[in-house]
Amino acid sequence: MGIKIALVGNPNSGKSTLFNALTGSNQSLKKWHDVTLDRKIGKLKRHKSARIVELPGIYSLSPHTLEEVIAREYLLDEEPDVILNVVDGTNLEKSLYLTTQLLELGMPVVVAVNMKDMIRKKGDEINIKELSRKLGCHVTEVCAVKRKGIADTTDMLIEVAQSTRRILPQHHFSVEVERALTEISMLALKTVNPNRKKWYALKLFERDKKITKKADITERTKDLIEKEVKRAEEKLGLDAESILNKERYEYIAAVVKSCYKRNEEKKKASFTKKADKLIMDRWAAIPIFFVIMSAVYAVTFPLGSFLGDWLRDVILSDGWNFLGMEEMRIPGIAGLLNTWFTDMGSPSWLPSLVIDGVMKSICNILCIMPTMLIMFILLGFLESSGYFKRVAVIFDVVFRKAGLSGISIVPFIMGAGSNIMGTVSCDLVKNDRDKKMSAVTASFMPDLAKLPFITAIGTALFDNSLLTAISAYFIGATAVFISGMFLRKTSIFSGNPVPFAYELPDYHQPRWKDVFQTVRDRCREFTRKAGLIILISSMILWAGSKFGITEGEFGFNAELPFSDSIIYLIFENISMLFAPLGFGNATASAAVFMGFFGKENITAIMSEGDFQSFAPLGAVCFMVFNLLCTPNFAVIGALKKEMNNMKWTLFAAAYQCGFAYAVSMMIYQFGSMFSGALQSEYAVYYIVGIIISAGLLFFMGLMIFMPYKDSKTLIYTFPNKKQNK
Amino acid sequence: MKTLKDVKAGETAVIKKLHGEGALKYRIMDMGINEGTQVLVKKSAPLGDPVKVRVRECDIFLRKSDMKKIEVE
Repeated sequence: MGIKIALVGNPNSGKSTLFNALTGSNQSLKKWHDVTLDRKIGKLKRHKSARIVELPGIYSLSPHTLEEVIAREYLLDEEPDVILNVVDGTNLEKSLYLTTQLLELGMPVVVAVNMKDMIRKKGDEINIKELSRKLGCHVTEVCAVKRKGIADTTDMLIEVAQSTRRILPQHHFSVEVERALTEISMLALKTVNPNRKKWYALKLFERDKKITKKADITERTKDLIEKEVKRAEEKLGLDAESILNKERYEYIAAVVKSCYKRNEEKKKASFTKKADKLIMDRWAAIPIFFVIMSAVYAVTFPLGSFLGDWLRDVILSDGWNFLGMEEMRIPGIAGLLNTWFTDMGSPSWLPSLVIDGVMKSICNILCIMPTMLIMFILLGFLESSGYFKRVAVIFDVVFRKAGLSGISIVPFIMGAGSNIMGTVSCDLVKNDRDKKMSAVTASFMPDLAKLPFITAIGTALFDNSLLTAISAYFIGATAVFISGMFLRKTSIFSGNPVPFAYELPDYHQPRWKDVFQTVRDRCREFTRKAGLIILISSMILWAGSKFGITEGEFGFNAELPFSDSIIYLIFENISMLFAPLGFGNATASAAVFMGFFGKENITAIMSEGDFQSFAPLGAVCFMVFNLLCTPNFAVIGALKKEMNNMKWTLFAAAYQCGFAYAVSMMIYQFGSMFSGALQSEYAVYYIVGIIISAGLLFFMGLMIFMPYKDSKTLIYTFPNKKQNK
Repeated sequence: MKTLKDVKAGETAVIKKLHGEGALKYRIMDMGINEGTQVLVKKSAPLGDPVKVRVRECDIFLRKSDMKKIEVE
C-alpha cells in the first residue's frame, strides 16, 4: 500500500489550489457518500504512489456541522499516514486553531503555511523554524497560486509519512483540565490507541455525543467522567467546550506572538480593499452584480444555443451550409445514413431506430454541452476570483428565510435561461443543505424553453403575452420562496444546521488551468450521471410516438400521426388525472407528458385552437402546472448530478410535480367557486376538490408560519469504510 | 443585556458571554470569538445585514439575528 495523505484546512485557505498544485492532472472528482460535498482524490505529481484526499473545509474537529463530521470521521477511520494542514499565513491565529486540534489527534501533521507572497507584500515576517518548534510538527511555506514550495512540501510529506517517530502535542491545557483528562483516560480509554488517547479524552471532556457513543462506556463511568468535567467547569467558570476553546486560543496567541512579526507601518490599501469598496458598496453592489450576471447570461445562452443548433444540424439534418454559403453544402450524418439505409434496402423501422431513436438521444445530450461548457467557464472564472463569496454575503438577507444561500441567486438567474443550467449551476452553492434546496427550487423559474407555451397562452386567451410572461416569472419566484420556507421546516432540511460566520478571501486572478479542471470535472460528472437518464427517456419517447395504431392495426409506423401513437392513446384514458386542474382532455394531458421531454414540445402538439378551447381558468392552471413541474428528463439527470443520491433525486422530482399539481389544483378549485361551478351537475366533485385544496392550503400556511429551529443533532452518519472507497 | 448588535459601527466591544446553543455558538467560538475577546464592529453588507466585524486580525460577517446572542460588556 502506498502512502495516504489527508489534506485539511479552513475554507478559503487555498486548499483546492494546493491540491491542484500537488497533483496536477492526476486527480478525480467524487462525492462524499450520499451527500453533495466534493471529494477530490489524487496522486502526488512528484511521488505517484502517494494518494491524497481533500477533506471538506473546516474550522474545527467538533461534531456540529456536516463538513466537520465527515472530515473527522475520515481521519479517525482511515488513519492517514500524514495530515497536510493548509494554513492561511495572513490569518495565522484563526487557522492554527484547527492545527492544534489536528495535533491533539496524535497523527503526523505537516503544516503548509500558504500565501507566502501575501505575507511578504504586507511587510510581515513569519519565522517558520520557530513555528515548527512551538507546534512540534513540520512546517513548510508555500504559495499555492504561484506553485511555489510544492517540491519541498512533497518531500516533507513523504519523509514524515515514512518516519516512525511518535507525535507528542506540545500544547498543554491548564492544570484543572489536564487533571480531568488524565482521570478520563484512566476511567474509559484503557484500550484506545495510545496516540489517540489525548484526543478521545478531550472529546469525552467536551461531552461530544458522537464519541461518547463510539467509546462504548458504561453508565457508571459516564457519571464519573461527568463529575470530573463539572469540577473543572466550576473551577474555571465556563462550560467545557468554551474552556478548551479559550485555552487553545491563548496558546495560539502566544505561538503567533513568538513567530510572526507584523509590519506596523501604515500600509497602502490592498487591491481587495479598494475593489470591495466598490463591489460591496451600498448603492453599487446590486447594479454591479446584475451587470456581471447579464453579461454571463448574454454570452452563455445565445452562443451556447447557436453551437448546439449547429451540432444538431451536423448530426441530425440532411445537410447544412458551411458559413451559411449555399455552395458549401455539407451533408449531415443523419442524411448520409439515411441514403445508406435506403441503398441497402433496409426495413423502415431500422433507420428510424438508429436516427430518430439512438442518434437523436445522443444528440440531446451533446447539444446541451456547448451551453454548459460556456456557462461553467464563465462561472468558474467568477467563482475562483473570489467574487461569488461576496455575492453570498450580499444576498444572504434575501434568501436565508427560504433556507437558501445568498449565492443561490446565480442558479436562479441561470435557471431563467435554461432549467438544466440552473440546476447544474447549483454547484456554486458549497453547503450541502443549501445546495439541495437550490436544486429542488431552481427549475421553478420560467426558462427559454417554457416561454413558447407561456406566450401562446398569453396571446390565445389574454391578448397579452408580455404580461402573461411577466406573471410567469413572478409565479416562479414566489414558488421558490414558498417552497423554501416550508421545506426547510421539514426534518430532512433542518437536521443539518449551517451556521453563518463568513469570511471573505482576497480577490485573486484565477488560474485558467484550475478553472478548466473544474469545468472538465463538472461536465464529465453531468454526462456520467445524467447521460443514461436522458438516453433512456429519449428512447421511450421514440418508441411511444412511433408505435401506435395504423389502420386498425398496432405496429411501427415512421410517419405515425401523434394522435394515433401509444402516448396519445394512454393519455386519452388517464386524462381524468388532470380534471381537478381544469384541463382533463387528451391533447392537454398528452402535451403535459410530452413536456417532460422538453417544454418546447407543448407548442408543437397544441395548436392555437387547442389553446383557445381552454376556459381562462383552465389555461392559467395549465400554464402554472407546466411552469412548476419538473421541466424535463435532462433536469432529472442534472438533479442526480447535484444530489449525488437517487432518493434525493426522486424526492426533488416528485416534490416539483407534486407542488405543481397542488398549486394548480388550488387555483382551479378556488377559482371555480366564483364561476358558478357549484350550481352545476358536478357540484359534488367541486366540493370535494375545494375541501382538499383548502386542506393543502392550510397545511402549507402552517408550515410557512411555523417558526424555524435548527435541529440540535446532525442527522448524517458517516458510512463505514467500504462505502466511501 | 447589551449585545453585539447594539454596538455601533466603528466601536469596539469586549465579549462577555455567548448565548444560544448548537452549531452556531460553536462556529462563533471556532472563529475565535469567546469571553474576553475584543471585537470591532465594521460596516454592514450592502443590504444592511450581515455585518462585518473584526476579530483577531480577521474580518468576519455575522448575521444580526446571531449577533443578538452575543453579550458584550
